[in-house]
Amino acid sequence: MTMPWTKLWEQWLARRTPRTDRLQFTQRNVYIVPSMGGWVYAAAVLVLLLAAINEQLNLAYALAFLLGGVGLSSMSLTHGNLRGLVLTLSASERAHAGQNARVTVQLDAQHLQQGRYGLILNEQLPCEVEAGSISTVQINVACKNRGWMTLPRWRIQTTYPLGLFRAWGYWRPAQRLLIWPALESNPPMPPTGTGTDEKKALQANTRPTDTNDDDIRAWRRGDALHDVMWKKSASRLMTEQPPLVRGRQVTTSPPQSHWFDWEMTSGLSTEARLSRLATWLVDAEQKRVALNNLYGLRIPGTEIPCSAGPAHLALCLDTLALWSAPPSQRS
Amino acid sequence: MTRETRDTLWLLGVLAFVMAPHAWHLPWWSIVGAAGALIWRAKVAIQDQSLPPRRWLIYLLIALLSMTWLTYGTLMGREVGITLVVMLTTLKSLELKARRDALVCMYLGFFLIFTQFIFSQSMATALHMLIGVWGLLISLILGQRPLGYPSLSSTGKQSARAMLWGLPLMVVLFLFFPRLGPLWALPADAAQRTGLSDTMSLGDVASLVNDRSIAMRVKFLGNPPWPDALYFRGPVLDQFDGKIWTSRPKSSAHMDEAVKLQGASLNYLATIEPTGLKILTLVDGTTQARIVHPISAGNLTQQGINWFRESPKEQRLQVQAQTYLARQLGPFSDEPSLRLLTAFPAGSSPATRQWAMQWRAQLLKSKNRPEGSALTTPELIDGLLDYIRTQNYRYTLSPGISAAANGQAIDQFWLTTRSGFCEHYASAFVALMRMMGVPARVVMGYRGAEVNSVDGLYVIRNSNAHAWAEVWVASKGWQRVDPTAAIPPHRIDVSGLDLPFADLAGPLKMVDMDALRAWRARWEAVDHKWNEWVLQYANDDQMSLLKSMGWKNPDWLALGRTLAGALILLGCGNALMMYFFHRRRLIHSSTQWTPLMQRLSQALATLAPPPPGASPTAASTWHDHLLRHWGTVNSDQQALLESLIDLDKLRYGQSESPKRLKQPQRHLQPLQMAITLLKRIEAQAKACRLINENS
Repeated sequence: MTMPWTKLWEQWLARRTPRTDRLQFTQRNVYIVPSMGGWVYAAAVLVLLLAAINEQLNLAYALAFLLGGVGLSSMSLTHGNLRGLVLTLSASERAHAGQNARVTVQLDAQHLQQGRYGLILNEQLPCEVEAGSISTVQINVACKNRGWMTLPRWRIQTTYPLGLFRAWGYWRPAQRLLIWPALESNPPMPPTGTGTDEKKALQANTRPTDTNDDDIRAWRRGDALHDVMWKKSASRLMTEQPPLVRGRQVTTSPPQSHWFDWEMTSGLSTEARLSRLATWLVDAEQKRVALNNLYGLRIPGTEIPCSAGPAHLALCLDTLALWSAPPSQRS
Repeated sequence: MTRETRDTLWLLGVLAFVMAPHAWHLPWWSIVGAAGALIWRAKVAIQDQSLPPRRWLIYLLIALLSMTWLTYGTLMGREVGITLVVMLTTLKSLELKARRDALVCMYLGFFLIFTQFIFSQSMATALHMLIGVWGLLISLILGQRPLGYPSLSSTGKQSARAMLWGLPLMVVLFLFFPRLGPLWALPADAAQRTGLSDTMSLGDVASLVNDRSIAMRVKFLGNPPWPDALYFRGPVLDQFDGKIWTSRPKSSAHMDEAVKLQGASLNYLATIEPTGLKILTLVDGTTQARIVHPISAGNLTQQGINWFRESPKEQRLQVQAQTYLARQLGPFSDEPSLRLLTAFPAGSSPATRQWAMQWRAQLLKSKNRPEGSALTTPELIDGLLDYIRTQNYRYTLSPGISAAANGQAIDQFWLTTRSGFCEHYASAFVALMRMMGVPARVVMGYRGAEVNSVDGLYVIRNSNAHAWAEVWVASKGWQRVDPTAAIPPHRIDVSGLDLPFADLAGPLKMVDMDALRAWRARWEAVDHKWNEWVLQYANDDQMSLLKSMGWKNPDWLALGRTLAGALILLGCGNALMMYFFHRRRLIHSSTQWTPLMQRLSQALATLAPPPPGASPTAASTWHDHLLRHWGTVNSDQQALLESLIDLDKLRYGQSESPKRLKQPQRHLQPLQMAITLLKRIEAQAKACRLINENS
């Protein structure tokens, strides 16, 4: 019985809050009710009024009425603390399924005479914005499935200034997030043979310098700080020896092309296959500098030629994210 | 100082500020305890220590309750309640951890403010407590602003704003909220008031003489009498035990005394400050009186020309009355009951008694009458007054009568020191009359008044306290005799008397006394208005207000309707104000940029396909997009790109300084500049397109 009502309610709410990337709170989309603190305050004022009646003190009456007036006027003030505020969604980072995407929201009070304080975005994020300025909040959105994801309905609420009323508004951003396929935590190495032998290339083309143990060597002037392996160097630092750094291999030979093919992942479900490919792609991009690799992607219906770089990776992952089986594959 | 420390200290400071006036009327241990707890909590906040364990607080609570029990012998009643609220608030501050605890402290703070009004409703208290409310609201606001380090001045402004917004509602409710009587009675505490008492032992009035607080104010309707000739009749003391004058339980003043009205009547309105007396110190000769304010104080009972209220209460009374200054007070023929008023304790003041007999014999001799014949009472009165006038009797506030001589104080005064003030003279005079067999009694009250130059009210201070004698004269009734007035001016010593403003220090003494007096008159006139308009505002004022608003026969229903109407009006006013504010805000809103950006997108879409995603909200998006699209740029394209950056600067560049928003018209400027810029961009885009087509 409740189902149709809930559905109707949701539909009505959705109609009231059309999706937009830029929302200004107005009289029409701010809601307000007394908060728990407000009820307690009202009770306290009532007790004060009773005491004033009993003691027949006009100043006590005045106190009760002043507090009552302040309480009631805080309804306007709390409502006004949301009204006029503009929320803008900035471009969001992409993320893999199973991860959190960080969405950046701008609170815009440039046109306002009063700052907006004590705001709570999405039930847990406290934020505020001074009059005449913009502040930025980042929201983590859990990504479940690959492909386009619509952002959930967010609630922004405030009890400022006195905490006696709770005003809130809903916001359904229009922007959609493209979610990349999930990453596998422990993927097998991609089968070799389709491209050049990776191991051999690595041995042939890298020139480990001053290595004591694999890639680790002593720190030299010019080494970046983030290459220092602080934990391993702890004992060396005690004896005033230079810390250890992760050595970088310098490649000299021309880049090797590498193809990641749909067929390499046979035997898995479609989503698992996409995940596997995505993991390999990310891995390849990470090792790109070390191995001087180029990589390409071949999936049914699409082929992306070999290249490298973040934009190329994003293109590949976008393709995976949006891929759906062509009719011939569906049998 | 961390944010939390500062907020905690602020709350503690406001609580201390609100409690401070209680220091005068709470038991010492509770003051010490409250101050100790607040200082302890402040120390915890400053040094970032941990709060005392709950166990300790329970011990403290038990100690507090037992101390209260020991002090008052009860845990009920008004004063006990106030002590408990003060102590509980400070104890609560010792477990001030979460926001909820702070809320409890703040609400208790509001109750502390309320308890102050039980003791004083003066303007100073009102202002003090208004600041207290403001401070507590600041704490409330700080609790709602968890981020950053909000300055006290900005929260203070917000708090003042909230109070200002609440003000109209407060005024409407104050004016029209129905005033009900007390809902239940609280055990009345014994009033500890300065002012007249209903007994007199020698030396009492002297402490009053330097008390310059106002006892009552009188507004005469009609020809005002000469202020120095005014006597305000208080307790009638007709019983003496050798030390203390008291009123007989069924005293002569309580008998039905015949009053013969003489001369013209005079109507007046008296505002009497709270006293511990049941008798009202009205103008001598008052034959009609009724309480105008507050109605709930009940009716007055009349006994002769003395007026009594039902019970002494901490209430300021306004009484409308009529007096016949030249009244005569009976009984006019000798009655047996009058003989009671010649009684004098046998062993008391033997020397004075002996002196009286000798003096009477001398008086007889001086009048050439035979020994044993009678003297009339007026002759005795005149003779005695003459004696005071001619002999070396002095008026002084420090008569030097030792306490050891208490039982024989009259002897010592009349025969030895011969110096004293009104009550010495009155008491000796009445004693002498009684010793000579004439019915007499002491009357206490006030004499004289000061006329406030601002509002013309007669101000009677406690320093006007006076005692005089009443002597019964056959066929004339009770005659007022003021023996103190018989002292010639050159024998009046005012050294013990504080002159007004005598307590002012050094350089201030140079200030013109008249100017000071004028300022005091002004202040007291304002204070009286405060009493009249704010503190005494009651149900009948509401009704007369309604009448002036056009209601013919105002009643409770009319009051309720007016209240509802006023509230609705307030609500509508608020809504209207919101509407206009909101509209103005929209005009200056950044929503104005949306159409501009759409226009920009339209103009630039001719150069390159728009960037993916939603329509760009910033010109920089287009800037980056075009740059990517073109790869290399020529001079025209470069100009266009720079304009785009300028556009963003206009929109976002100065946004760090909110000051420009103070003046709304200045806010429009970047928008207008942006429109000009946009036109230029459109032209530049056209130029770029033409070049593209040509090449």
